[in-house]
Amino acid sequence: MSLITPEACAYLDRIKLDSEGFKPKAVLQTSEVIDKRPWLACAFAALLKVQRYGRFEPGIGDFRVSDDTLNMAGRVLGSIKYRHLPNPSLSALPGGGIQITWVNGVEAVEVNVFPGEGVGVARLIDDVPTKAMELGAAEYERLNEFLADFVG
Amino acid sequence: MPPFVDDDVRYPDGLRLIRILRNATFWHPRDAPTRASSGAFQDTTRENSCFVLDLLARDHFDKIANTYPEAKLAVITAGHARECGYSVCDEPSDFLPGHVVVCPPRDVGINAYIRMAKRLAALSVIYTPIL
Repeated sequence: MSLITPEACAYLDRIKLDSEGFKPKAVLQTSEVIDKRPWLACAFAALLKVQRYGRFEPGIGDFRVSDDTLNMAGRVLGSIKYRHLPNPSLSALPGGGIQITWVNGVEAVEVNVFPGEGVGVARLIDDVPTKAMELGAAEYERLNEFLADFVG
Repeated sequence: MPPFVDDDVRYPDGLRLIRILRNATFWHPRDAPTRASSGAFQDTTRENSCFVLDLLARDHFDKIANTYPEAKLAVITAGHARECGYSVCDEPSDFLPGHVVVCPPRDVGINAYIRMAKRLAALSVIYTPIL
């Protein structure tokens, strides 16, 4: 999965070369322009790790994650607008799905990516869902509603 | 994909089933686990592997421990699974005897499945074999 995705470059469209104060910087200094979400790089790294180590586990399930599922999870993460979030924990679900979880004490937001199906998102208190929604491919931004409650 | 059928004759409600929990993602709470987490009963192929506890002997638990040194075990009953909307279906495996798959309805939506998994996980208990 490439990190140079439209989602990862969400701020590039706001840059105007003739805008006041814009000064070209060296390539190694462009990270603040490319993305201002520090948790996102960690999440993408964890996502790649989930795929790299996923394998068939007899008696438990198949944890191999396909590229399509990985990309779906990447698009979900890329649709989140908040800069300051804790690093999510990511893990493969048996069957090749991906679970992404943000935890804050007894509160959590859990995203479940089901291969070839869709995405379920739930807000949990002590592991009990208080709000849940299924998101289609065009609705990933609605995850921000769940995280707004979570961080607010 | 075989048409899995609930077998309540072979697997009556009181029968205890073991689910292998691969790592801390699959137990709750993570630091002092008392039960499985919902992810343990949320196989996205809709086939959650379990084993009939009464058919497992010491060498089988040794095999689990050797294959998955970081794993824990959770126990549910076939009745718990049915109470939450799952079927308990025969599915022989080479890994261990007594393999069954605990399946939600094929057409269940993602959110309904997640809620089922959370209910079943809440009924589970961490199991430590006495060897």
